[in-house]
Amino acid sequence: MEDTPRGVSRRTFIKRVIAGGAVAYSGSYLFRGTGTLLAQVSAPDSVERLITLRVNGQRRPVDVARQETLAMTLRYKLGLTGTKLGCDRAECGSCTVLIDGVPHYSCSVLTHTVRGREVTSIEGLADPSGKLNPVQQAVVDGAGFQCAFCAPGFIVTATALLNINPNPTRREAAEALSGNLCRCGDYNKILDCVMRASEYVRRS
Amino acid sequence: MSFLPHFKLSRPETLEEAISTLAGASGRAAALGGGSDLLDWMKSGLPAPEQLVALDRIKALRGIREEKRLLVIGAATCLAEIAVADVVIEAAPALAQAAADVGSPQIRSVATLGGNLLQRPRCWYLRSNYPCLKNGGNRCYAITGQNHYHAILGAGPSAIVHPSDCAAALSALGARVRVQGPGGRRELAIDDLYQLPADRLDLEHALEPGEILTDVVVPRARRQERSRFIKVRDRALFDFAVVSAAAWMRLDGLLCKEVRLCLGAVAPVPWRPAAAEAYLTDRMINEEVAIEAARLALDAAVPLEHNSYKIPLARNLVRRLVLGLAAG
Repeated sequence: MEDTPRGVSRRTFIKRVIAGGAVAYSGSYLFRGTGTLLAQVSAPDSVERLITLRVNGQRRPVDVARQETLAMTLRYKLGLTGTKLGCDRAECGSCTVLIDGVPHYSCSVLTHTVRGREVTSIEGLADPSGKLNPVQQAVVDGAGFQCAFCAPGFIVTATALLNINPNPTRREAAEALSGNLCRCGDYNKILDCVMRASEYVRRS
Repeated sequence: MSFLPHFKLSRPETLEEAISTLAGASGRAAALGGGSDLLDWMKSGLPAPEQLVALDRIKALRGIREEKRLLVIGAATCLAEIAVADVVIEAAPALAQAAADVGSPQIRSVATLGGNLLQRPRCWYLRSNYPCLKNGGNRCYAITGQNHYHAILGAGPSAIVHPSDCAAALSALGARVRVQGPGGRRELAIDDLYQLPADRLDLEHALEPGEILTDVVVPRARRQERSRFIKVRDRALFDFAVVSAAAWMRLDGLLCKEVRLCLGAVAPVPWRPAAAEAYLTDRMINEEVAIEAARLALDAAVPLEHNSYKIPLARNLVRRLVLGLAAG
């Protein structure tokens, strides 16, 4: 106990150190991405244009380069880091967002082409009061993921499925989620959660 | 994380504007459909166009319509729409099945029919930017290297396979494509859209610079005409074909009056096994005939070190298609 500052328990101290580290880490992650992106767009032949996007129900003015993908804009210009970049090649589904309600790989959509369309990322699924949507609630209740890096993509895709088919069979759910990969191989539990979510939708 | 190289981006609202922009860039521009192949290609650091002409605002390129006996599908129509359109499921079932088997739901909601037909090969040497024949170099690394997914027919000097599922289905359906460019419009059979590497190495298709594929035209099935598509891949869903096969047949009972077969992912072009088609024509379909047709279809196959498994696989698909179509 001698090493810890006075008046602070060892446990609290460790918690604070961990929290501080996490903040510093996420800060550097965001900063690193931003830095690379800035380096890219500051090349002489690169031009950013101010456009207004509709993201999660809000109008968001943002400077966007022509070669910028929606995933880049969301993460590094708008700070919406819930959308993950896994493969960046339309192969893994971690970056899935809804464009006009339909799941898209945001890593493979040029931001300029979504002007005038409604973009919904994982941050926009809960209602404004903070109440989780049925898929999110089912994932919490069912502890659906292991590492959960792929979770935002899965949750966004599953939300779109339940919007058009609130009562899917497990097979239909698996097909709808076939464009999202989980490297932990946690597919069964993820599907359990989607089925649980469809129950929540039916009950509400 | 991989970045896209710099490019100019235009999003014209008319086909004419798109064509003049493409033609004005003298080969350094490319049309952008859904982008699931082109953007991936560009992120790989492969030779990239300096200008992209996005087709997403051109309404004339989208939609499915009927013209007398024909189904006309705009080239920028997305595969998700084609896969579930009643008119396609009824009039050209093989195409609906092929479209439904492409990629994942997220891919199908952006990927266009034209983009699917004009996508570049998946060869891992090419995509990894090896200085191979198709990338301006002087050898095909697949021929002596890792060639599990490469050609067993029509190879030489390059052993790529054409990855399009829809191309195989459309070839069996006897489809044609409409093309518009600075020199006007033309229409060609889907089989003439593709070129073997022996004829042209740098591209797989026969479009001139500035030309845009505008429509795909499919004869609508009449009574007694049936079609079907089967795809085999390493995963159950969301993968390119290891081998695919499509068949179209006009039947009188069990008598095959006319047939078109096409194999996908076995050759640098959608592969029409002419000997098998000739054998099946005017023949009563039964198990024995189907097996012989399957044998003939792969008769000319020359496997590489790691892909001889494709021969029995493709034969079984042909057999299943022939028997399946005859059974209804």
